[in-house]
Amino acid sequence: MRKKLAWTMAISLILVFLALPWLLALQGLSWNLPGLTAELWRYPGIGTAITTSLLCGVSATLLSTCLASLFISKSEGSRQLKGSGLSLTFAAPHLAFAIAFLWLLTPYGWIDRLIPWLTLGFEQQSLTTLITILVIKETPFLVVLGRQQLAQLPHQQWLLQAQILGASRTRGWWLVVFPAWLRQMRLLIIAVAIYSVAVVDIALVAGPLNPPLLGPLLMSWQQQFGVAEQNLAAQGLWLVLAAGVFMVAWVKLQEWSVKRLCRGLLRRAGGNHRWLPEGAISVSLQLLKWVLLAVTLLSGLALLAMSLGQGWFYPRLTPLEWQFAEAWQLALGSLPVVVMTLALALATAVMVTVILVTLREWQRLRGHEFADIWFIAALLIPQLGLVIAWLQAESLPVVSMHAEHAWLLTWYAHCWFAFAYSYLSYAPAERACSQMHLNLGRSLGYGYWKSWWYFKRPALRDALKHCLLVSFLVSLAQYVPTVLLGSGYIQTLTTELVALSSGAELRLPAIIASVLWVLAALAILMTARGAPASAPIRKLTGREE
Amino acid sequence: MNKHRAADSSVELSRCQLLWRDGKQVELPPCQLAPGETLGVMGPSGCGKSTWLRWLLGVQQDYVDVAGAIYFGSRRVDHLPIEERSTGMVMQDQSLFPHYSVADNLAFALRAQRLGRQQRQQVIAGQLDALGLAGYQQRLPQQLSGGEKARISLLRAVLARPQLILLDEPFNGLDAARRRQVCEWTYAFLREQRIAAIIVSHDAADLSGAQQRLQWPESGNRKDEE
Repeated sequence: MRKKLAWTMAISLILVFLALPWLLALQGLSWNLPGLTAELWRYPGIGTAITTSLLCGVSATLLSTCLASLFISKSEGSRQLKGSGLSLTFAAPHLAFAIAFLWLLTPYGWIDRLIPWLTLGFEQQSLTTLITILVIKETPFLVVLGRQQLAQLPHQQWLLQAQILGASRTRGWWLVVFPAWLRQMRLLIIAVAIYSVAVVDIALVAGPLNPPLLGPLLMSWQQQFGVAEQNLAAQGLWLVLAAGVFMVAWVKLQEWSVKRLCRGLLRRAGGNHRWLPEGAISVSLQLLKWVLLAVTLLSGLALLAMSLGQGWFYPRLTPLEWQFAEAWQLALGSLPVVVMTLALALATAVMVTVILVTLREWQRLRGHEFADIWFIAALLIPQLGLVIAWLQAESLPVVSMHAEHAWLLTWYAHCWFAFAYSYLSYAPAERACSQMHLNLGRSLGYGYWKSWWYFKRPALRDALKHCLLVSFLVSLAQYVPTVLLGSGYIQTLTTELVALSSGAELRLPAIIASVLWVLAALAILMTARGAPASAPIRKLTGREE
Repeated sequence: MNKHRAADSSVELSRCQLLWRDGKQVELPPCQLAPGETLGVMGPSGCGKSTWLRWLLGVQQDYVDVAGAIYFGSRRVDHLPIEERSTGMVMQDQSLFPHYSVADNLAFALRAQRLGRQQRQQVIAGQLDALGLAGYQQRLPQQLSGGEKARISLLRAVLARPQLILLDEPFNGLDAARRRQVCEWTYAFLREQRIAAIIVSHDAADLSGAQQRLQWPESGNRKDEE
């Protein structure tokens, strides 16, 4: 009876967690079915906003996919490219990185002061700068998760077969492994595409201003109380969703083109003549990896220096003076925001991990798995569109209480968005883990969850730590749900950073960005350490070695 | 090794010694295979048969040292990379590329023959027809039965025109009736194509069509000998 109740509760939790947001979104959309009126099309700069948003989405997706593909192909044969350099860039919080990038590489930035004759071409708020930041951040994301996806393919066997049939290893990689890997990466690439086309946080800091991209424009409409703006926001919601559909089509087109090209080359007669400048690509990628690493490290240092320095006017290379005490005071002043950020991120990490584990075990017990797309659907729809749809669903009590329970609602949204990313990291590892030990434990008389805790959890230790880490980091970076659902009651480091970065004062944003970076780094360090996998079993058996 | 090499199309393997890192060692006698001739190698699972096959294929294996030589006619090939060794392989799971159609899988093997598009399509259609698989060009590997996969895997290996084909437990995963059928077809097809082959299996029935047989020798231990 107790067992049945526990499972009923688990299933209800999963259903409420997975299904409710979609019901809310549908409710919001059905309450709000305006046609795209002339009013929207007459809005100054709307055409440019749409074009630049699509251009941003397409360029960032294409470039980061190409770079990630090259990194993955080369990391097979190169120990240097397998290293953790890209992981470091991947781990840097988006927004903190963007702030530091701007300060380093735009005109009047630190590199400009160091090497005045060097023109990098990055303007403070421009489409090029935004696309560059997105590519720098999304490439490591695709590489790190792409390696996991590659591990699920029997690619070594395919490469061997290709070689047996007379193709070189490189040719075998591009003709046989690459199309399959790209297909495996489809959902992740769509996630990148959707994020890039409807980006809000980085676009507010580094994107073009006049007119802004679709994301910031829609956000500004939503945050104004005028009827006209609210009407525009309601229509803009459909525009963002349409941009999302366009990006899905674009990713499919990318994949289709690659498949056709590979099929053509596969059938084409010929030997293993060099059709790619292998050496040049390897060297370029090594160089790029070091540049990314250098930019990431320099960005971290730049934030630290900006936090501690006072009077850092152009063209000075160093600040007039270093003020540690003042910086410390300013950092202490942001303590309530730090506490709120930490509380949200920790609660999100724990909740997401619990739901993810329960969901996977439930699927295992059912003996039938749902397709991944159902669990990461939150990544495949523009976040801004979803959140605005939830806000439109005012008739539902869970939304109408948001003024009093802003924290709860924000946490719920954080969990939901973090879940999709964590699913991508946890599910493949869990699938690869045998149920044998868990079943063995059950056959010895342990209950399901006790057996899971003692026998399966140790095998999944790294995956669980990674799941906690990913949820924590995703929660740290959430901007749109925190601002819109928190409705001013919830301030996190990310929302503060966006709010402050538009001002002339650099020091406070730098301090907040540094704290954000430090929190992310601490989380990574803490999850990198831990007890050995056998510790719970030793505790169970009372054996201490 | 013999000073006089056999005819150019024959395959000759010298005495071969496999030495594992843990001290286990196996010594295999020399053998010679004429075109279309098959060597059946039998031994229990885990005795080192697949390791030997991978060495014949040219795969680097850091857990074992192998001393021996492979000659195709007068040409020594054991130093060549996999793609230049003219050795095909059919593995236990047949290893067709699952995301490519049957025609694409076969076309990959035909690349080196530099055929025109129409000629290539004719070759593929003709070969599939001969195998009783006419019209299978656009099917994906997951749409094939175990026996069909086995036949197409061997056909793909044969189309690359290797001098030697290695078959590692090729009939595993087939039911008894189909296993017998595919087994008989394989030997007949290899004879017809005049390609030397080595088939390893732990089941004597799989090797009934082989002209030469080798029982995998008992492994010794270098440390014991010392």
